[in-house]
Amino acid sequence: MSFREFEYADGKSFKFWKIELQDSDVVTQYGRIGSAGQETRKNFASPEKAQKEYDKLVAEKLGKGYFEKSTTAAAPKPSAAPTPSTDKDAKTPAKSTAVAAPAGIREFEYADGKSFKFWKVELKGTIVATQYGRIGSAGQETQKDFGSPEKAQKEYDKLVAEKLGKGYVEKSAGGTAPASTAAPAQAAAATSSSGELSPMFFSTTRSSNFEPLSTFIGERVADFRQKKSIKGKSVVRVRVSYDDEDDDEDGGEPNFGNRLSAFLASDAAPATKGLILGAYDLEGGCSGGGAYDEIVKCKDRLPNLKALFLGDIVQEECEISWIHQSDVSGMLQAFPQLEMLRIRGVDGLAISSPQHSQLRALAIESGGLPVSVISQICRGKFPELEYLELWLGTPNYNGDCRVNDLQPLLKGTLFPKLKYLGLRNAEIVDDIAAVIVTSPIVDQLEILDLSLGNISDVGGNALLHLESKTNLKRLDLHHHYISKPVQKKLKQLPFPVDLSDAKTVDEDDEDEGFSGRFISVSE
Amino acid sequence: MAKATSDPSLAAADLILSGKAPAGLHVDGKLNLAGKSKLQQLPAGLTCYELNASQASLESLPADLSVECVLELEGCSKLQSLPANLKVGTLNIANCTNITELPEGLDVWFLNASGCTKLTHFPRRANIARGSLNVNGCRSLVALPDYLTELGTLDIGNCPQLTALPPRLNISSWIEIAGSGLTELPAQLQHVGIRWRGVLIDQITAFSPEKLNAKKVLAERNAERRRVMIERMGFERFMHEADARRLDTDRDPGGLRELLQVPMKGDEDIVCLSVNCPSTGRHYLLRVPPTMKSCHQAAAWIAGFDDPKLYKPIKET
Repeated sequence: MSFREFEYADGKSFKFWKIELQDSDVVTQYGRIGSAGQETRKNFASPEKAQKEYDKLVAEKLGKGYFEKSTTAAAPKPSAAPTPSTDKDAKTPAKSTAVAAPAGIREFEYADGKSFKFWKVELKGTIVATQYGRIGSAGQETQKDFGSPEKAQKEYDKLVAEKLGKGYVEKSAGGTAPASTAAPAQAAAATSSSGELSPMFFSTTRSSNFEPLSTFIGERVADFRQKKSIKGKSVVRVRVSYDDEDDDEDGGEPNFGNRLSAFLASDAAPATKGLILGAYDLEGGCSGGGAYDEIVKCKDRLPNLKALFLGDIVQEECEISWIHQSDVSGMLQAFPQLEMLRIRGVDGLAISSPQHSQLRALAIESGGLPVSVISQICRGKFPELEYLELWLGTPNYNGDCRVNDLQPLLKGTLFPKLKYLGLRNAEIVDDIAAVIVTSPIVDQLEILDLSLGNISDVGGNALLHLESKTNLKRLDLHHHYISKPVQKKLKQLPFPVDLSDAKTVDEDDEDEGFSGRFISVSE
Repeated sequence: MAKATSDPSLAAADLILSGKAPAGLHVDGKLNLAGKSKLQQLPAGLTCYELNASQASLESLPADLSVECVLELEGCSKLQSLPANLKVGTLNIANCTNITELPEGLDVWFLNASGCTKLTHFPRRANIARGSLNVNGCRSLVALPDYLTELGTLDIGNCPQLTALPPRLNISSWIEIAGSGLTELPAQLQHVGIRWRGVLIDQITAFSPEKLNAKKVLAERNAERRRVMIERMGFERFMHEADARRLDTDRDPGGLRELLQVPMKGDEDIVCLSVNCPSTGRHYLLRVPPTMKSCHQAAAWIAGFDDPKLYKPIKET
């Protein structure tokens, strides 16, 4: 890209900076936002040298806290909250609000299997205004007056930290979030501009597996039925469920295999971006090998497939440890454009040929992930992988992985683009904490997710060693057994830490080891 | 489907056991040779992701052996040395009782050398960092090397000759010290978790047990921790300070005999028999089951009689 536009605002300044590469020339334009600004042009001996200078200047501005203006939405809002202004300009009321108000707006979004929402906050003098709702809707507004700008600022900071701690993603950060909230939800989601999935959608389920997904990759999930049109939908689930009416076959029971074949043959298939496989039958049976073979056979029917979820099966239908899977290598091979693969259940799971040149997100949910699968991932070739979520589980359900089995991953060279690492639902989480704090992988991560496990003060104390890791944007520990004093120390870390869903053990019952401390999902 | 991946490695294992494996054999996954007591050597140039040769009869390993993730050699009691510059994620040489030294240039994250009773020293140059180091029971070991700077956990239990830690060592989680010669923690490790046979304890219990008193012990709610505290404090002093209740008294040839009881919250009561040896006059405090009601019953239990009526010693000495 040869043209980029940046903005910067704090209590004192409110300015823009643009840069353009024209062959061997680097042209910059800068000034106060709203003014035409000034222009400079510098000629270099070669386009290569000009490119080098261009890159250097951009890096410099980013380093100074400039924010890149996204191509879709209005000017992105800087994340730096305004400090009470002291310069002369600010004393004239009109200018003061003009400067401070935009600097005080921050916009966040959140998506998981259940919700897809936005939250905006604005600091207007002594008032904190928030706006929230489903993405695509106008949402609701609240306003609260705090009497003094300092108090309002404090509340503003608190609210922002709270949202970040809950896993909200700031819209302006990184330019990766989907388009403006004013656009319809459809446009904001997977179908937006570049066609690449937003990293926000990778973490599909925040906590547990008690409800089937209602949204996936930012869109409403449509359940495929032979006699019901799902025209216009691009996220489709194939499953049989209790609420099925006998409207599929000629009076017969709904059949997964027939339904899958009908879907693959239907007009809905070519438009499908996200495909979800749910329960296979009503007796607790689950999808698996046969379905994968069928899909691989019909891969040409799914030219737009970007995201796959194998096993959207909830506890009520089938315990996670009973969900039958098989080798998913064929699926990886069949869909070279696939960006996201989520798997629930690991009985029979294998990734015998662990490679994919485009895959950006891999998630495996289980109550016990066998070390055989871990070692296949640790020998994997996924050069684009940004997101890796593994539910390690407990040895009681075949989760026989020890922390040293993860060493090839912790070295950090395996997946150079990894930004999110989730080692969730793990009984060995205290052991992981001891080692991960000095592992090179942490230096490349934005989010470290050790949630749903049984982490205790032992692990909590070890994680205090992350204090120098300013690259981290979030540490997720929700569902934990960390005591109040250690929680307090963790909150001092230089990034938000999610410590919600605290569990307690009666000390009287506490024996050596884990007894009394349980992970979130096992059977 | 798991067969597709395990078959080649099973075939490789058979080939190695037959002694006909070619040099430079590569195994993509895990090579399992555990418990193969006839296995005396591995082929030159062997490479694999994981190798388990625990309890094998290996005396040495090929100099060019390459294992990426885990190398298990637990209980290879004939193993004398390891190849120089061995680099692997995890090295387990627990109970390799013939090993006296580790190789120069060793590069590991996780090292389990527990029970290597003949291990006397570490190499001059090596990289052992980030993971865990376990030298529990390395009774001949007198010092840890200065290049240890970063560990997740460290186990120096039952290393009586180890009295100090490397000066720049940081440990992110815990250190196990029961039975080691350590008497204090260096300044940079003041916040490390201290374990005593797996039980987390505080610095006073670990290094200044003379400062413990019965009141502190009885205030501890965790039963495991309380047991360690009593052990560190000394049983006699604890019973003396805890104002034990006298359940029974009588006399035997040694003099006054007492059955003492201290109730424990969330744990069984501590009951013991206080006796004097009739020959030496020395005093002993002997712990007995909490169900004991009389001195005689307790003495009978100690002598191996569940029914005290059957315990009629002719003479106690």
